[in-house]
Amino acid sequence: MNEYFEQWLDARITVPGMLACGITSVNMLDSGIGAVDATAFCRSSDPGFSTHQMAQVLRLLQDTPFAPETEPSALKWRTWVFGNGKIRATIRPDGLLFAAAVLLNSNADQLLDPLTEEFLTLKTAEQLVPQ
Amino acid sequence: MTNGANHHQVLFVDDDPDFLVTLRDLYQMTNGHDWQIHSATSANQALEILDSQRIDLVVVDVNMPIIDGIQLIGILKRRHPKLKRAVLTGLATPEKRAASLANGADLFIEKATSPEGYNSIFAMLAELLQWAPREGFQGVLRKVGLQDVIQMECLARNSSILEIYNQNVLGRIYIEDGQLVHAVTGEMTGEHALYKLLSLPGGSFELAQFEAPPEKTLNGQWEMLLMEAARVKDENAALGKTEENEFETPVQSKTSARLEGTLVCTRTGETLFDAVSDDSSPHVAWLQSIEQQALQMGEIFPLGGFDRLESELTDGRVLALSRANKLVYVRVSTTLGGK
Repeated sequence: MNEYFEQWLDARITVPGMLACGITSVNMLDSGIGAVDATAFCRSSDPGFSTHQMAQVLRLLQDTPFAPETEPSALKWRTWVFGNGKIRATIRPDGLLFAAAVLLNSNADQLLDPLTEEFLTLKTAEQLVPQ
Repeated sequence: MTNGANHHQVLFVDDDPDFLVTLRDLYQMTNGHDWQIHSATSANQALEILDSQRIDLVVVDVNMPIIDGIQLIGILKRRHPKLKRAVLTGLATPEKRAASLANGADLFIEKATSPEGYNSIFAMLAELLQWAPREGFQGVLRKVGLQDVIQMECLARNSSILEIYNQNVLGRIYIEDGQLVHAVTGEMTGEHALYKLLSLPGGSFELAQFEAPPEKTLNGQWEMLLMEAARVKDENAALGKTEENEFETPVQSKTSARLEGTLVCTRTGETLFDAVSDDSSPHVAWLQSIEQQALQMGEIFPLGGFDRLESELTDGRVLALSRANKLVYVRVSTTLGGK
């Protein structure tokens, strides 16, 4: 199944303006295994946005609450907007976390919503359990 | 020396008494007696004169002992904010110019080397004496975001008119008691005009004194209008539609939105405005953690300065904005309208 996600990422990293993207499992990171191989599920198209950096961002993302603890509604995704780009992150009920860094106003920026929806509804996805 | 109340009162401050005498003589020889000239050879003496009588303009030398001219300008700005202030120096450098203007000088002039040169200096100072500052302030869109200006005006519950112009567009946004009440550009009014103006890639603006708008075309909460404007701007930018004639505002959206809450706090966690709940601490803590996380992400990925976090919920949206020294939380609920 890991291969499935790798293929999915391989296709998405080619979208113009997609700087880096990656998938990990929150549970896997919790176990500490993520620190070893999280980069395996990261892709990069720009030297300034390496897979190693993407893995760092994924690790960071799981540490912050998606909304204030009093927020009653479920969260679909979050987007950090910076001066030159965005970072989109979403997490599935099964614990899979997807994040992408895109250039502002690029094709990838425009496609962020459908791409995120696609990740959230991938039917064949199962837990990214190592081994 | 005459003592007419109609004369402009001009105070020259320079630690060289001979220069002050020469300056007075040059002025009287070439310009007559329109100004009543006062002299001071130190900052302390200047402050004493200012405390004891009306002065319209102070002209200060930079290099003076104990308190230099740039420091004196700063003191004058605080103590006598309505006083016009000029710096006259023999050693004009870009650094001194920048420091003088930053401290509150209205004019920075280099000393002349001939009597003719002083005629020009007196003419510039006469212009400064005639100059009356307009209410409000001006800015360049690429340097200051219109949204930021509107946000400041609304949070302060001010009334003002934001006049926006670039090569092709002239528009006005009316803010009354901290609410957006009217926007107009060309034939366009209301939300469409607001979104168009807030999507301009560049230009200038001026914050003018408020006067009642010809009509009221905006009635939503300003936070929601700004949020929607940001979304429309992003959409148009993504589609490459930044020129005015290509601009598209959403066609009657089928989604209606309602502002659920707003909170503004300082970076250190002091709540300035809370329209969310009785206890602001969870939201303040969340805003601080978001900013911290954004800073960390900014260190990993070179994406520029953090602007905002948009959290898309199943029934709404939460925004965390980073503005100057403030963090802003905005919660909007959305519902699908009838088809």
